[in-house]
Amino acid sequence: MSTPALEVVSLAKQYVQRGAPPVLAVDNVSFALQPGQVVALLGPNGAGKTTAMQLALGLLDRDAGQVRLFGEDPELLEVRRKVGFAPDSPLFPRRLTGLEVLELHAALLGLDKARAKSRSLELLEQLGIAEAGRRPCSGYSRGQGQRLGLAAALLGEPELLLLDEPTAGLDPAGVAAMRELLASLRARGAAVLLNSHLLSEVEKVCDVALFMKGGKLLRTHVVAGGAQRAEVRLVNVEEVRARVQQLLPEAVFAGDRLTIAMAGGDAMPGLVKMLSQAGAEIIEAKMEGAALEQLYLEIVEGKGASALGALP
Amino acid sequence: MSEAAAASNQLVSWPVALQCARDRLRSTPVLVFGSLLILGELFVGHMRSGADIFGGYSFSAHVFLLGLTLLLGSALISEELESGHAQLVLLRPLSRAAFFGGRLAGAGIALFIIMAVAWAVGCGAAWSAGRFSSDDLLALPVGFAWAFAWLAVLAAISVVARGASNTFWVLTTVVLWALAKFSLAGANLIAEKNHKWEWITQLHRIGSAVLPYVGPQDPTDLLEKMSQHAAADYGPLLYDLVWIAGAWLLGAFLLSKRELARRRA
Repeated sequence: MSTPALEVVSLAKQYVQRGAPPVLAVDNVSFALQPGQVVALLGPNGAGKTTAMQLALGLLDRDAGQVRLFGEDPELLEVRRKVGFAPDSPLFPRRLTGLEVLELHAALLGLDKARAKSRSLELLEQLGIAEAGRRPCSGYSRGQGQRLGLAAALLGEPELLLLDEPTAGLDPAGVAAMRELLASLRARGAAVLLNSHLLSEVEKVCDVALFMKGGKLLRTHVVAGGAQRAEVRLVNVEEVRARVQQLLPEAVFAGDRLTIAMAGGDAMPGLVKMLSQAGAEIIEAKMEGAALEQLYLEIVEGKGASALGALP
Repeated sequence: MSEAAAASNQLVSWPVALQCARDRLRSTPVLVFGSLLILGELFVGHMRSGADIFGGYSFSAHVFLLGLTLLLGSALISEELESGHAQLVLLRPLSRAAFFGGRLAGAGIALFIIMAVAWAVGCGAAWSAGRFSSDDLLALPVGFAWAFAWLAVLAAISVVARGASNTFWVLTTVVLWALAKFSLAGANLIAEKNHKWEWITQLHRIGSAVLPYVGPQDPTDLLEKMSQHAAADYGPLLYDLVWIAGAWLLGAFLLSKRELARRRA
């Protein structure tokens, strides 16, 4: 196996504030990211996701544990060149344009002037802020600032990218563009660690989801690409139950509804055909909330048992 | 030595400096004070001489140049730290000292550009009035050393002061300094006239010895002495260079300490 892009072992961080009890923000967390892997940190606000990310980058000092970036000390300047970081709601110098901000970061990465400009323009175009890039940052919306932060993170074609709430403030087109971007990063072998509350998006793009709560890593879940849940309402559920269960042993019945985990929306026509052949009269068939959402509620919030027996 | 290792040994990050200069030169208050300084020096050059451009009794030098320096140094480091942009920049192959040096040098470049225009305008006015001598050419480097020393002080304070409060601290110090200087001088005159209160005379003596060392000194007397072919006193100029080096070192040290403390949080 190749050297992990990021390896975190028994990481711990406690925040101490005057007059308040110490808060264990990250408690004995271990995980690793392989090149080409997209991993999501999931959890409620205050779960320790951002702190874990900042510890991995060396933006915060850890109380215990180890962090290795490409097998090296994260403090090494050579290693930092391979890493990109896009924080949540980044702020940039107000009187500089987006293009100038990117040119600054490109120059710091050692790109010559011509290359810095062309790479900056390319990223502004790619992230849909080519026009805004020529205006001062003071007039940027949250989404535009988010995209500029992402562009800055991508400048050096990083081998490891850490994205803190990358879809926050983005419009649907921006979210779709982000999805494409993550796919292209994975395709070129970059490792990505992101934290997000958009579970449906995470499910579409991530290989692994790490569930965190109260600073602890609760579970590591391998995401089956695009897994979703189909929900079908039947007229004659009792009549066909036995036949359907023979065909689909993982199907779960509740009242007149049947739910089943599926690889994606494309499998729905096949399911409907199969149910019809089994004699089922269908009232309604729809793709329901993502399977990851169900798992999230179960693991993190402790709400209800998963109806998705087929999931890992 | 690798490229990254070389970057870590830099005293000044020039990309940071250039973008900082650009940012500062787009500030409206900076442009207003810069324009006032240029207009003021046009007047000084025309009425007095090129040597007086940034010193002597020039109102422009003592008000507009100090105001410009305060504006250029205002929140120089703190705005980057508080917005979080500094943390993003410091994730690049760049040392904290090079970042501090870059910000200071950037503000210095902006200051130099405005001073150079004011100097050129002032010298042009002095030349047209027949009051220009080649010694006046030194007004720019000497005046800049004085202003840049204040800028370095502002930058160092900005590492630990919130927002633009570094400007407040420097301005308060300058005002208190002037008040102390003139109050002591006035009180001493009264005491000497009345042949009483010898302790005031003693206090004035101590104040006169100590007060010039509170902050960078005005070295522009040097130009006047040179124009009179008198023995030049290089002390204030050298003293300003010490302030520049000291404030620079202190600022870089404080930034490193502050960042390490923030990381420990």
